[in-house]
Amino acid sequence: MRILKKESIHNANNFSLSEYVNLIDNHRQLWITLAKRDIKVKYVQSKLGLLWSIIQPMTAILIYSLFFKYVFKLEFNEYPYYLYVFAGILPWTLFSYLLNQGSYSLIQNQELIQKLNFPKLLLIGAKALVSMVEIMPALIILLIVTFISGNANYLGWIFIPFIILLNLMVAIIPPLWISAFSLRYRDTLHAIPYLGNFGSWLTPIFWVPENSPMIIQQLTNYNPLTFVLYLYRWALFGDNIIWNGLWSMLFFIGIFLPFGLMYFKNQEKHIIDLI
Amino acid sequence: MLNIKDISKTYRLAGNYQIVHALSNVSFTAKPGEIIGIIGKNGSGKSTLLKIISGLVSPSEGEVKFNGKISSLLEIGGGIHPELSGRENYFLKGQMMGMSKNNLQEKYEALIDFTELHDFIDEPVKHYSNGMYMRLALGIGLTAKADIYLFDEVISVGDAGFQQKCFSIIQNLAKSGAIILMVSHNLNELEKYCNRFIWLEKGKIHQSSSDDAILNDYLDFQFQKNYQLDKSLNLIADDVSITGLKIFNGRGASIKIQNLDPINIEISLIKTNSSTIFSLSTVIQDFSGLPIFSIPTFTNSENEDSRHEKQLTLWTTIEGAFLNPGFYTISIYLYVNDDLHRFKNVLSFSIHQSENDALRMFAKGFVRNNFEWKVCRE
Repeated sequence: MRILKKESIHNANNFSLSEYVNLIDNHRQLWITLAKRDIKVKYVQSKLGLLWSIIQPMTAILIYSLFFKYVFKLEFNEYPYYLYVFAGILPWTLFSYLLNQGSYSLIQNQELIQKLNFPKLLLIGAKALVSMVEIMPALIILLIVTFISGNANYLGWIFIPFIILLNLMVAIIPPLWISAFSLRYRDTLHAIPYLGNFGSWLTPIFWVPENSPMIIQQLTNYNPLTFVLYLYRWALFGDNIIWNGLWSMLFFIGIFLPFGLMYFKNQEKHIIDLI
Repeated sequence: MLNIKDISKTYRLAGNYQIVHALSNVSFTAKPGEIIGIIGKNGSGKSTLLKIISGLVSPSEGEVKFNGKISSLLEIGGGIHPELSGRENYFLKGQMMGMSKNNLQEKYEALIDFTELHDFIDEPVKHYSNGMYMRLALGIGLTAKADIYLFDEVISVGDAGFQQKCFSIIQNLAKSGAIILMVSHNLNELEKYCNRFIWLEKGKIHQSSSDDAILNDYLDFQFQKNYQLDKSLNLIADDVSITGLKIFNGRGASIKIQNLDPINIEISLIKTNSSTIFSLSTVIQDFSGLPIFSIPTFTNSENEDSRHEKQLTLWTTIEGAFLNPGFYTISIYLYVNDDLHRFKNVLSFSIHQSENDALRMFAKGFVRNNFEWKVCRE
């Protein structure tokens, strides 16, 4: 009877791709559970709970609208400016949540890693799930507000899930590399605030590329998140898509994502020795 | 079946580039039903070995082959989150071990039963008492259905009743074909649980045996450098001070004390006030400090005459074939001017197995006696 049980081997070799896929597949329930744990732990003792995930983008919208519309007198007439900012803030929130939380996920969960044997990629994977859950309430509000304001591009709405997926794929790249590198070089963690700060300016969240100098436009097009924002605004309000940003996004998703995953896979067995 | 083949683990120290060999070429095979106790000093590689078997740490060389699932409890509270309830922690940790939700649900009642956490299981773990916390952790590790269980210094938690429950659960797991490996510094516990022992020394298997005599060898080896059989002391209790304690083979033949030899004990004392009256008792304890028997002075009336001497030496003999082979310590209790002074673990000594001991396989426990079995005649 016992002989029939699946044989497993622990050795020094890196996981092969099929082994790793199997390993993660065996732990897929854990993936969900880790995400649930993250959400629970975050909100367990706050009275407002998930409401906080709305308050954050709302205050950002309020401040940007105030400054850009009334202090800097930004010209934007196609539809209400706050909708433009709202549609930019959402993908950025997802990106920066994953950047900040995902990058630290290995170091934060040292205790878990040192005591339990599971694929560590799930720690970042769980953060990705949480980031999606976190933007959902705000996304629903955005859809409602867009509907009320009469600027909706309903046909585009069906693409939103797909765009969120692209958003996630871009957003998971920095934490994947940073967390894997942070095991050997904690220096990479210092890059996080810079990425966050410069990134929020090099992504057209609250300013409009078409009204900006050519050099700024070109620079933003190297940012893989720029095209994701164009897609959101196209799907929500029917904005024109500026195709120049496409290549950067495809490059990142096609090269940095798979190589990042491979690199992380090959680190899996060393994580506990390095952390 | 658990097959450990040529496992080595090297670490590179962070600062300098020195390489540490935590384990080198460890191989053994464990069969279903075996409860293996792993002994060794701190830093001998016991925990690293369990971590490698569990898959938590990868070996530098060699491989671990096994069938089925491993449940490991490498530290009490490993992976238990204080903000989550006992129930949520159970499901979280169970899933980390690769168990399905349905499977965990089936075992849930057993967990409640085992941990006795009935009303508290839905409370956040941070509100648990220390004992509840440990019961939960152990409960999760034991309830999980696995083929191999690994325990690192975690079994001796809870009250006597709970420990008894652990004991029977672990025995039953072994009977139903599981393999159990446990690391502990508590040799009494290992002796109670295990049917095989592996002794690690500097990352290598030093000895491996299913006879629990290995535990005595281990203790002896471990304390070799530390024990001195003729010790100068300065234990002051009011007007009396103990200046020396000596223990030696009553036959005087060799320094090594064997279990069939009589054992002599000598205590040297100095009294600052010659009229002081005192009595003392030497307590012979097992390696963990548990008293086995004692030899008090007042049973010895011949000492009466020497009571007024300023400097005196007391001696006694423990007759041969009384104490079994093992590792013992002596504590001295001194009663002076209505005060009891306790000097604990003053000296340690080891009794070795005599070669010509006919009862070596049967004489268990610390002491022997001459009680006899007889056949009933009608």
